[in-house]
Amino acid sequence: MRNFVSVLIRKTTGVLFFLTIASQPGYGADQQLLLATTTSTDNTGLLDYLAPQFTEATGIQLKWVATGTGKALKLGENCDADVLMVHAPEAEKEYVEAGFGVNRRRIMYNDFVFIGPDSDPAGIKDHDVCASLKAIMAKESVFASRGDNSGTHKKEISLWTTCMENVPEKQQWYLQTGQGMLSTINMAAERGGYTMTDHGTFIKYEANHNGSPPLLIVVEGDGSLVNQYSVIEVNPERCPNVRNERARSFGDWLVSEDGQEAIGAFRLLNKQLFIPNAQ
Amino acid sequence: MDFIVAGIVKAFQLLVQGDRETYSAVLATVKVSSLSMTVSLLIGIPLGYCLGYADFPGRRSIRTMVDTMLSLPTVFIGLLVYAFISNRGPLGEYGLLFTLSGIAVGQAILALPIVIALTATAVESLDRPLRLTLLSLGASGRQIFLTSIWEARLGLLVAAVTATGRVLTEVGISMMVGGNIKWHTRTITTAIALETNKGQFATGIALGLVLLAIAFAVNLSLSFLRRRA
Amino acid sequence: MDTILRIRDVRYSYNGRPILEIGELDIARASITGLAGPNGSGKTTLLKLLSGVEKPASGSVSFKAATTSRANENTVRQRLCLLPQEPFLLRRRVYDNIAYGLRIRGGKGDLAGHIHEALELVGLDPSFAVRRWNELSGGEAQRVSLAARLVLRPDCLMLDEPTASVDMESARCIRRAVLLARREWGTTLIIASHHRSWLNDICDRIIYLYNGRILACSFDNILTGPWEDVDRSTVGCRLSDGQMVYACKPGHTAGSAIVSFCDLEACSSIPGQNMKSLRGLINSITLDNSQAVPQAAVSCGDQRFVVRMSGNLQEAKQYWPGQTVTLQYSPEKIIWLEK
Repeated sequence: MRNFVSVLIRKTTGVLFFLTIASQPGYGADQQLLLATTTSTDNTGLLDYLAPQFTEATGIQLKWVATGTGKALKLGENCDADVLMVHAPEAEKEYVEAGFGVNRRRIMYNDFVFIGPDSDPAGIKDHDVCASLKAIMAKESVFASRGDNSGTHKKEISLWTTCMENVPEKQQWYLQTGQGMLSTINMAAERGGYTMTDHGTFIKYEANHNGSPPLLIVVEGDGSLVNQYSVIEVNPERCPNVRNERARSFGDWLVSEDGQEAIGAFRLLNKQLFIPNAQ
Repeated sequence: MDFIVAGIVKAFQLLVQGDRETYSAVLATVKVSSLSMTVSLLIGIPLGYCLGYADFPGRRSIRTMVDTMLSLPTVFIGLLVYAFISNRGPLGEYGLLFTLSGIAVGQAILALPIVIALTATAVESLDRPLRLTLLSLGASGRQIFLTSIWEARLGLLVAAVTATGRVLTEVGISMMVGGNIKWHTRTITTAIALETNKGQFATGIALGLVLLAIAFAVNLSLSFLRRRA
Repeated sequence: MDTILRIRDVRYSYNGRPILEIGELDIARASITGLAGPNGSGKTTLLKLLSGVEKPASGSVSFKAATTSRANENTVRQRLCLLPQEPFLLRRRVYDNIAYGLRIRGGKGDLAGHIHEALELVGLDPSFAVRRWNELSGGEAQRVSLAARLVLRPDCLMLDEPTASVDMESARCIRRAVLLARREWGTTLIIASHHRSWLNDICDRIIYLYNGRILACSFDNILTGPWEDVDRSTVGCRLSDGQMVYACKPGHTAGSAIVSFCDLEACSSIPGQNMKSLRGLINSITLDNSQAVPQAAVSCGDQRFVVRMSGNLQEAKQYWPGQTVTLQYSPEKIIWLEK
């Protein structure tokens, strides 16, 4: 019995040791690059689609952490990521000015849309943004907000402040979910309310429901609803360990003809989710 | 409600068809929990033994502290570990962030109080005459430790099983420290979190059932120890 | 004498309370020493100190002329075995319990031969080896514990109340086994027991412990009080039958005292000054190994006294149990025991 246990322990330790070594980075032959990005680029499947093409072109293996914009920016600030792909232009400009990021380049855009139930309780279909927000507030219709400092959230807040001067912080009908876009959409759907989402994620949501989702687009096309994505390299002067050459290659590839073409070709339900607009 | 049934069906599909993403998550879960459990048992059992066996000043305060740490939320541990292993943190140079080893460190911190507290309890409930008997047969301190641990093996089994359960099912640390990176640090639990966030409830259920199957396998293999005791 | 164990100036306390204080004690090789004393007198502690299980707060314990210190305590403890009072076995088979001591001393391979021999020594069939720890009676468990120690052929074997907690058959087997160990291997035996006649029967020498100290004499005749003042220089203890035992006042608070009686009715022929007497009833007359003369147990009310009888066999024949006799003692010769 004692013999058996000691043999078992030795074998297990051996296996675990091997597994630990095998799980270390650098075991493979590829070079790696760590990208911090938002949930909309990940959840739509765009990165799953772009990454292999990028690897084939440059030999760099892309790993990405998908969190909200706030956390992605923080990761860059802490030198825990090499490159960022986010969509919060105001915050990004401050970021670069503060010296956390360098070489900000626009890569693609889509628009934000308001979605709501078919019954449209606040009656905002095809209205413009400010009229819609006013109606929602007046009727106290349920509105789900990201509430997590993401690019989408920051945009939504700016719309409230521009149109209504105040964010309906403590209202019963204003749900701050603190979660990703698809979660927030689901919560709005459960409560029969409205939310604001980027167009790409909405198409993904549509695809998940095989073309007939519970929430539909009610407001779109307003000039204030543009959603711009950019790539930013984490500042190598602040973060000497950051893999800056590879980060630059990533940005270069995204703004190159091949990259832009790939972005434009990405489809879900035969609809284009992101429009390439690099300069 | 129908997503639960859809989930059960999907669980079989994922396993039988050898879905690569699922198996990658399974392998990640197995690797990281094996590592964290080994470390926490190797450190925790001797510490728990000392806590349960010896009588020293401050023993009760330490015990209270250990018991309090049983209530550490996983996100909190994740945040603390991130602060240390982030590139701006003191241990940044070891490159543990967003790796399975980093998650294992956090999970070991989660499991350690469980192992220590339950081992201490098991050792405390050993019969008093054990030490006297072992001494009277000429055992040295090290032999008394090993024999006492073996005598208390049922209690230690409880400690191991409880800690393993906690470690297999936690999300906060894996998410915060691991980053849920596909193919690399996506474990079953973070995959479940992701799928439910995306609204893919059936897949979430499926992955949950896969996790249960792993937990069952682990407990089954440990049950032979219970029989021999 | 060939001393195998020696104690010098040892003190031992527990939680601040002094338990044991022994100035000098030598145990001869291959001897059988008995430890007698009431509960709380420190017998178990003394056995633990002798076997190396506990360490004294001050003083020294030497084994084979080498003082036991941190450096050699592990090796010393491997040659001395203590059999505790309550039978206790590890949670495994009898075979593994007996093999444990051999294994930690590096014994490998087939130990079955040794184990069966040890089982036969304590009167158990070798088929016992496969039984599990929870399938034995108290007596069988204690015999297995003893076998686990005998199999190690220790230099000294300490037994703490070996006949308590066991059935008669087991007590017999235990006694036979330890005597055989002494005969065949020269094992030194130290036995603590309440069972006075059993001890008297088996031991070469008996050490009396009282309140953690060794008494120079037997303590059969201890009076614990309460003492009342009789006059300025005398105190007295009233027995349940109304008789008073007198003693000279001690220099300290009167606690316990040992009365030293004359040999039975032998003093009556000597004109002793200040002799006092007590009347009592003979309960029994016994003969033990260490004494050459018989002793009479006499009861005065609830109190029992043990009195030597005359060396003259002719005179001794006059007495029989049930007879009323007069005991004589000198109040000045009373031995006060320090608290």
